Amino acid sequence: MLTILGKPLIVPLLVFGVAAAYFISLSSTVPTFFNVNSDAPLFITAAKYFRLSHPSPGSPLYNLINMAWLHTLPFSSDYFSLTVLNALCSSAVAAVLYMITRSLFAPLIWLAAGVVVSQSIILEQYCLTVLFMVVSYWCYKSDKRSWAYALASFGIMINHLAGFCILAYLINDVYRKNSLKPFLWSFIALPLLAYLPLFNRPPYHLIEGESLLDYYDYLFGGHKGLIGGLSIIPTDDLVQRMWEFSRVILGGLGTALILIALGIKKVWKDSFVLPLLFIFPAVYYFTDLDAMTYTYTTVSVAFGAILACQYKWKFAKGVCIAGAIALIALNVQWFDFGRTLDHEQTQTKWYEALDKLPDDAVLQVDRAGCCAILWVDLYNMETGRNINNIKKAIVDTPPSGRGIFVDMVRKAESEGRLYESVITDTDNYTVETFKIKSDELVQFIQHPYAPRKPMNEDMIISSLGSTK
Amino acid sequence: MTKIISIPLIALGAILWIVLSYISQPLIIGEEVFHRWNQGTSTSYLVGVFTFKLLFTLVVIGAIGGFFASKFKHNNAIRTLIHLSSTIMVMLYIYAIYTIYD
Repeated sequence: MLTILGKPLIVPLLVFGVAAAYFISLSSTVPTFFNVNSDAPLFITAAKYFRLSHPSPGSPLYNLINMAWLHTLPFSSDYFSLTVLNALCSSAVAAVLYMITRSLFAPLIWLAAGVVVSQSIILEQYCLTVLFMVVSYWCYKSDKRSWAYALASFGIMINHLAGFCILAYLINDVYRKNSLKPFLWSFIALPLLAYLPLFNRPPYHLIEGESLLDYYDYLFGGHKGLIGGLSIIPTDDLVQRMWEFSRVILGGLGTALILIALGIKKVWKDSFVLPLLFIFPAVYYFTDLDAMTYTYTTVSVAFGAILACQYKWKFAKGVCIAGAIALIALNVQWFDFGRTLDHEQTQTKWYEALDKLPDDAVLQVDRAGCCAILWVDLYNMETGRNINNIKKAIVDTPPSGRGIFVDMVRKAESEGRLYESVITDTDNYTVETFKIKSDELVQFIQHPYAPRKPMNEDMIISSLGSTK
Repeated sequence: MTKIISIPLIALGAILWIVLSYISQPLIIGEEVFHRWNQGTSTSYLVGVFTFKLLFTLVVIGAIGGFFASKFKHNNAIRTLIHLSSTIMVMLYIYAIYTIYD
């Protein structure tokens, strides 16, 4: 019989198979705006055209894995191929959770949490990050601390969230007076950062050039307002975040939170690691400026699942298992791409509308969702066209130098090639593209940081059709 | 007695779990948060962000400074040095944040 660490492998393989069938059947086969799928265009661009992606910190290992996958096992579309890889990573997390706890309870919690499902069925990096983190924790728990630090280090090369492992291990090791030699393995993955200068070339993505200052801005500039940046004066955002936090955590873990609290109480005396790995990502999300970072709580769900298995209470566990199974059934109804979610494939239809634009069109997309700018860049690379997207250049140019953009949009308007894509229905992510007059856009160029108002219908010359 | 009370409470919790999952679905598919990205640009918002970071930093630096100061209970010179350096770090942080948002 197949074994791993002396334990039978048949159940973990079954867990992996069932989870893979569950996630892949729900997965999005075409690009989508749903599930805050904002990084997908970056990851496709990086994997297909060998460029940089998200600066957290550049995801070199994730991009290299995606490149290898896309160029050796291509099937269907690039998007779906990479989404399947993500779904398989999430399934592997479920299997590892079983192997750590030897209980089906942990993988059930993972499969039932809405935030986990939403991030397992699109193209994202969190599932692979969590996979590295749980395997790293498994090593730490098995007293293979060098391996634990090294795996967490490689995890950071996928997403910086894996850094919480190193932080938790370090706090625990310092407090318990363990040897800190294994900590040196935390630096083993640093050479992977050579990816950044090697793959940084025009057309640049999320970086302005190749100077040291450009790299500094790429790695730290974009995040300076995010971490711990929740606005608490006025208190509206704080109250809103508390409500959202409650829904994500209580809706994701439910009654398992009781077992998690009891689990924390039980393990705290022996090790801080598990409780800290549950708490850190949740606090990080709670205090982050960006409301979309609720996706970080996938890490809390994974370690919460392990914690919940630490406390033996048959009745509570039985209720949790029943609740998780009911939720898995409901998730199939709530998160099925193409059937109950994004059945109008609004992103694909928006791309079709872009086909109608002239090659030298000037297109404004800042009211089409935060990732629209990246989708336009990918569209240009895929089609060899050069639709001019000016938003980023405006923000990066000081006010005194923005006159050239005013001249550009005035000229584009007079030649009938000035367009804007706008979300017109937030429930379905319907995006419409309009030929527009320049007045409102000129105001935006002069004050790019002012909150945008809904589109003024007087600015519309004609519509290219909605994504419906 | 505790068991009699806790059993229906947990069962009720499981129902609440499903209800909350249902309520959280629009948030999780991004409908509620996808369009809020640009809101973080008004002046009042930046003031709020600054305030949080300042409070957060005070707590973190205070905790670290307090921890080290507690290790030197009988050495007033070192304790004063730690308190002084913590204060300087907070001031430097305020200046750094100020230059970022200026």
